Amino acid sequence: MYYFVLIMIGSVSAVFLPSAVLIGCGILPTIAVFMVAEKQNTAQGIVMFNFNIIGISPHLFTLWSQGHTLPNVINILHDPATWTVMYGSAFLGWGFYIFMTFIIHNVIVLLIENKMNSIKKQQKSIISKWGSEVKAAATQKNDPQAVATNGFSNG
Amino acid sequence: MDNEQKKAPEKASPPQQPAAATKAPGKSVLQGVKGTYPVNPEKHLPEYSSLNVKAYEATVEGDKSTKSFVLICPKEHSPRISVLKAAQNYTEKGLMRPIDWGRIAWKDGREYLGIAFEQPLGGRVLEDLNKTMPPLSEKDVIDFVKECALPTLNFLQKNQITHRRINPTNLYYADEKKKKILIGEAYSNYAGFAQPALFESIESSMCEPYGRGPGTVQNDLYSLGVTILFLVLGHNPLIKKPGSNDEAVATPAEDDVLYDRLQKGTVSAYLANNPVSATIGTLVKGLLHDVAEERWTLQQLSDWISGKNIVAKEQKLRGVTAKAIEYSGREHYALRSLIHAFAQTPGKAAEVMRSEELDSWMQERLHQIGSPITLSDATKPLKIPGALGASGSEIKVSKLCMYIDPVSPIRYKGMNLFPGGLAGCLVECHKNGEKKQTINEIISQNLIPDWKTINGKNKTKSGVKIVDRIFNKLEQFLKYPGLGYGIERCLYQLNPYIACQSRIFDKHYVASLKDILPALEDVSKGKNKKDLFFDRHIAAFIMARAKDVPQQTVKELGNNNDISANLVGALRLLSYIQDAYHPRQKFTGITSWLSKHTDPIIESYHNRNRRRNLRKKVDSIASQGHIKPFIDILDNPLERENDSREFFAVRQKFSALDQSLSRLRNQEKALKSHKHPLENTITVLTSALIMFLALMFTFKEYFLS
Repeated sequence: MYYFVLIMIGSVSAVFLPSAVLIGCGILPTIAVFMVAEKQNTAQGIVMFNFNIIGISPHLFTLWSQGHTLPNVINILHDPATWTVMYGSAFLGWGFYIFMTFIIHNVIVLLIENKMNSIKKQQKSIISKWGSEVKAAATQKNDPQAVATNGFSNG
Repeated sequence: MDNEQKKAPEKASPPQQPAAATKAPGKSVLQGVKGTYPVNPEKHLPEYSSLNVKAYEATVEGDKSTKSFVLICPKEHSPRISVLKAAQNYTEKGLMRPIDWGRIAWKDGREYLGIAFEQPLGGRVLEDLNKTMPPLSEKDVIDFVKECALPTLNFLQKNQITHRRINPTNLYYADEKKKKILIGEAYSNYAGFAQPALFESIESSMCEPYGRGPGTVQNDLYSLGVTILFLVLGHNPLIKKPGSNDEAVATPAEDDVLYDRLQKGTVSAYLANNPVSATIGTLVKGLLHDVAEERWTLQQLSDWISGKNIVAKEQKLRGVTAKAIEYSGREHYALRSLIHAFAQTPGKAAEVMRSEELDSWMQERLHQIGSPITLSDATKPLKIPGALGASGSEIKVSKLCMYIDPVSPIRYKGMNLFPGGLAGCLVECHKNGEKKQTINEIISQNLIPDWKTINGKNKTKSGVKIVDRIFNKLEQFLKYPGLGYGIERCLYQLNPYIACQSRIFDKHYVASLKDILPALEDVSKGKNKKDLFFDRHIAAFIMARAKDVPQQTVKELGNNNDISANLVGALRLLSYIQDAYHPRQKFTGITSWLSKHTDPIIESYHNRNRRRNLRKKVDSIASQGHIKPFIDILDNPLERENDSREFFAVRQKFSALDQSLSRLRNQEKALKSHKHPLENTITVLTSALIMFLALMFTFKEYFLS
C-alpha cells in the first residue's frame, strides 16, 4: 500500500512536474514536522499541512493561470515572497496548533471542574438534608429491607 | 413455705399518696390503708427497734388512748408484705399484730415504708442476748408455749408462712404485770435476716443471715426450742458464768458455736452445762433435734402440751468418731464439720482431697451415715491432674460438699445459702455492690437445680418450690444484658415486695407500678433531677411487676446496642403505666423532662427536615402531660418506613455521584500529563475547515472573478 501510494505520487508528479516541484518545495516544513513528530501525534503535522497548503495554493493557482511549465515554476520560486508565504503559513499552522490545543485543554479542564463542582454541590445538599451518615453508607451495599428493619441504628 | 414469695398483687402494695401530702411540720405522718398515724421523729424507741430498723413513737389519729410505734424500713429492705397481711388478720394475742402500714415521708427528706404496731405494755422480755433475766418457771414457759407460741405457729402454718425471728429479744410482755408474752415482728425484712445464728438449726446457721430463705415451720420450732432454753435458764445457754442483770457477757463466736454443734449435736452443745427439768428437757430435745425429719412437728408439740406422752427422739450422732482429722486449724470428728470447713476453703480442700490422705476416713464416715454415693465417685473429678482450674475447684468442691452433706446449704465461694435465700442474697448484693458475680455463677453453674435434685424428695427443704418455678427464667434473665433483664430483674422477680432501687428514686419509696409516675413527676420538678428518666432498675421493676408488657417493648428494651430503641421501649413502658393506672392524670413534669431526652430517637431518623418537624411536634406536646403521644410521634411506623426508603434511594444517588466525581477527578488528573483526544481532533477539524475556506476563496479570486 505504502509503495503503491509512492508509485502513484511519483507517476502524478512526472505528469504534473511543475506543480509537483512547487508543492514539493512548499511542503518541506510539513514533511520535516511529520518526520520529527511522534508517530502517535500526527495532528500537529496535519494542521501544519492544512496551513501549508493555504500558503502554497495562491502560487499554484498563479502557475496554473500563467502556464504549467518549469520556467514559470522557477520564476515563482525565484520570488522570496513565495517562500515567505509558503513557509510563513506553515509556521502559522504550527502556532495555530499550539494555541488551539491550549485553549481546548483549558476549556475541557474548566468543564470538568464545573461538573465536579456541580456534583459536590449536589452531595453537599444531600448531606445537609440527610446527614453525613449517607456518605459513610454510600460505601456499603445494603438492601433496602435491611435499612428499613435497622432504622434505629444510625442515629 | 414460699407463699410469701409469690408474685405481689398490685393491691397488696402500701397505699400511696404524694410525698408532700404526708409532710407536716415537726411530724411525719404514716398514711396507712386504714388510717393515718402521726409519728414523732424525735422520739426513738430502741426497745421496739430491730436490726437496721428503728422504731419511733406514733399515735393513731382519732384514738389518743392507743400507744403505738412505727418501724421505719428503708427501701433497701425487702418487706414481707404477705406475712404482714396475714398477721394483720390474726385475732389471738400471741403475735405482735401490725395495725397498718404505708409510705411515710421522713425528716431526712426521704420516703420509707412505715409499719405501725400497738405498743406492748410490759416491754421486751430480754434486752440483749448477752444479758441475763429472771428465769421463767416451768409453768410460765409451758403457758407461753400453750397460749402464745403454739397458736401463733399454727396460724402461720395455716397461712403457709413462717416467722423466722423467734428469740427472747423479740418477745414482749403484753401487759404491765408481765404475765402475757407476745412474739415480736418479723415483717420489716426478708425471713431469717435478723435472727441470730444461735436460734437457727445447724444447716441454717451455716448460711449467711440473708441466705436462709423463708424456711418451714420446723425452723420456727427450732428457734422456739432455743428460746425456751433461754427463758428457763434466764441467760444464754452458751455462757457458762452469766453476769448480773445489767452486765453483758461476751458469747462465743458463731463459728465456734457451729463447730461445737457439729461435733456434739445441738442438744449436747446447749445443755452441756445447763441442767433443766425433765419436762423442759423433753420439750427442748424434741424441738432441737438436728435432723429436721425427727424434730417435733407442730402437731407433736400440740399433743405434748395437751398432755399426751410424746417422746423426744434421741439424737444419734452420725458420721462422728473418736479419730479426728485436722484441717484448717481445727480437729474435725464429724464428717459434716470437715465438709463445712472444706466448703469455706475450696482451693485448699481440692488439694487435700486429691491427696487421697482422707479417703479411708471419709469413706468410713460416709458408710456410717448411709450415704448412697461412694467417695471415689464424688472426688473423681478432683483427682484428675490438671483437670480443674481455680474456679473449677470451687465448683467441684461445692458440688462434692452438696453430695456428701445434702441437707446443708449451697456453699460456693464463701456464700452459703438455701435456694429460698437467693432473694435475700440478691438484695444484700445489690445493697453492698458485692458478690454479684458469685450469684451469677451460682445460677449459671446450676447449683440450685443440683441441690434440688439431691434434696428433691425431701419436702421439708426450704424454698424449693419458688426456685423451681422461676429458675429457668432467672437463667434467661441473666443471659440477656438488655434493659429489663440481668441481675436487677432477678432481684425484683424474687422479691415481690421490694421497692424500686433506682437511683432516680433516691428519695422516693416506689413500692408498686402505680407509684412510678407520681415519683417521677416529683423528681422531674426537683432541682437535682438526674440526666435520665429511666434506668435498668426501673425497667426491671416494671417488667417484673407488670403482667402483660407488650412483646415489642420487651424486644426494644432488650436491644442492648440501640439506645433509641431502648428509649422507645422506655416510653412505651411509662405510657403503659399511665394508661393502666393514671389514665386521666397529667404528668407535665415528666413529659417536659421526656421531651429533653428524646434526641436519640429523633436522631434515629435520617432526614434532617423530618427531624426538625419531629422536634417541633415533641416540643408542642411537652406540656400536655401525656406520654402516649410521644410514641405516636416518635415511633410512627409509616414515617420510619418512608425515612428508611428515602434514605436508601438517596444513598444510592449519593453513591452514583461519588462514582462520577471519582471519574472526573481521574480525568482531571490525566489531563495534567496527557492531552485530551478532543484537543487534537478539534484543532485538526478547525484547521481543515480553515484550509477549505481559504482554498475556496483563493480559487474564486484566481479563476472566477
